[in-house]
Amino acid sequence: MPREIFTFRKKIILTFSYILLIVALVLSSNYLNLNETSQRYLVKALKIPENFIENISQEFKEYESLKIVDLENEIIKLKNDIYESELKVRSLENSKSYNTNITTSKSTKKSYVSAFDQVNYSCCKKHVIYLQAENTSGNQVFSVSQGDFIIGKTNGLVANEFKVRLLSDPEEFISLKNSKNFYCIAQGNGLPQETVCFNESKASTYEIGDTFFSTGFDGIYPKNLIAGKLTKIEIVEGNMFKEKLTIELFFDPYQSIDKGVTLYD
Amino acid sequence: MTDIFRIFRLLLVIVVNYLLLSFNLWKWAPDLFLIQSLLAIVILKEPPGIYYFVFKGFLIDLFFSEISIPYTLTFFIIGLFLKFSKINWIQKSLVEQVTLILLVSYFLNLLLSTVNTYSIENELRFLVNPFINAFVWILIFLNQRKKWLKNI
Repeated sequence: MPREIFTFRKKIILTFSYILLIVALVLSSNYLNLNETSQRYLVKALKIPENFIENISQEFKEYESLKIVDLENEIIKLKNDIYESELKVRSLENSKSYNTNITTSKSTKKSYVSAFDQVNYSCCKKHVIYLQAENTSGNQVFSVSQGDFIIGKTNGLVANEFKVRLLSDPEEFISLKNSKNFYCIAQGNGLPQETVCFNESKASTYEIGDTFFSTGFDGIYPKNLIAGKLTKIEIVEGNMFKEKLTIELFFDPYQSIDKGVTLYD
Repeated sequence: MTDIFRIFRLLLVIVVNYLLLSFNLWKWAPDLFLIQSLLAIVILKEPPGIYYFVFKGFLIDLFFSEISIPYTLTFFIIGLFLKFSKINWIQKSLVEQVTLILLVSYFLNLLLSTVNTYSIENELRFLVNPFINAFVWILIFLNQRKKWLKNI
């Protein structure tokens, strides 16, 4: 079959009509939040074959040796217990240097971590976890913590789950302070378990190892929740008075699945 | 039926691409969607319509991009080029094909990095990927050229 030859006029009309189609597609996908929803469903859909493979390997292992499976399950349980105990110990350690009694007028509710977007966490500067959501609207913004440790804040509902942006996400800001009354606004730098803040005043006091807490000034996070520990101080290139403080966050998303969390209204 | 197979094939490539992302191999891999489309173009006697490229790009963007622009726009341009060009592009020289693949890959990666915020590690892909795409295409071409060029 000979190929159709297009006139210049027809080419222009065709091109413009397809550009209009593309614009309509982009706008509708943005309006309906289709990209985020499809990505979430893709992860959920691929979890089923993933679990299937996991179950088969588990059964195979059981066939091999029941005792080994019992021991492996015991190890996983102990690892979980250790993570939770570590958080409690860190909470107690940090309360020595600062009063971490969380006094908030905010109403709280409990939930648990249902998923962690591992792909975006490692590939992109998009750090999110998902929480089980019940009887809530996506318009409400909640700050989220695990015990005394800040996780981040909710950013809408995706596929009936709360999407929570972690403090390490570059779009996440929080007002922090240390026990020596140094205050700063920290912003996630897109690296796992890290947030950074800048300081231009040489009079300020901080040192490596200082624990940082929420101030409550932003009106989102309750005050005195623990964020993390100062791990690095660097002088910003071109401005010898400006220092970049890297704070290592205590919350580890890899160990967060199925763990309980608190949401603050 | 052909359309169902096309969608099924695309879904399969989406799954493989997702796995590459999860195992952190994405930055070293060729762009599977681009290679799959180029293969489809040379295997089919008549290239698919522009609408096919637009919707294919849109579907890929839905799963792998924050805004539905990079693949939709790149595939639209590929569709336009194939629809309006008079010479079957596979019959042109390999150098020209590789040049086109390099240009398209750079354009696609530029759009991808503009609408998404990739980690510093993955930004390396934007330098390496066009060459990987071109290299994979040269291998395919060397292997298949007798079959493709026998009618010239």
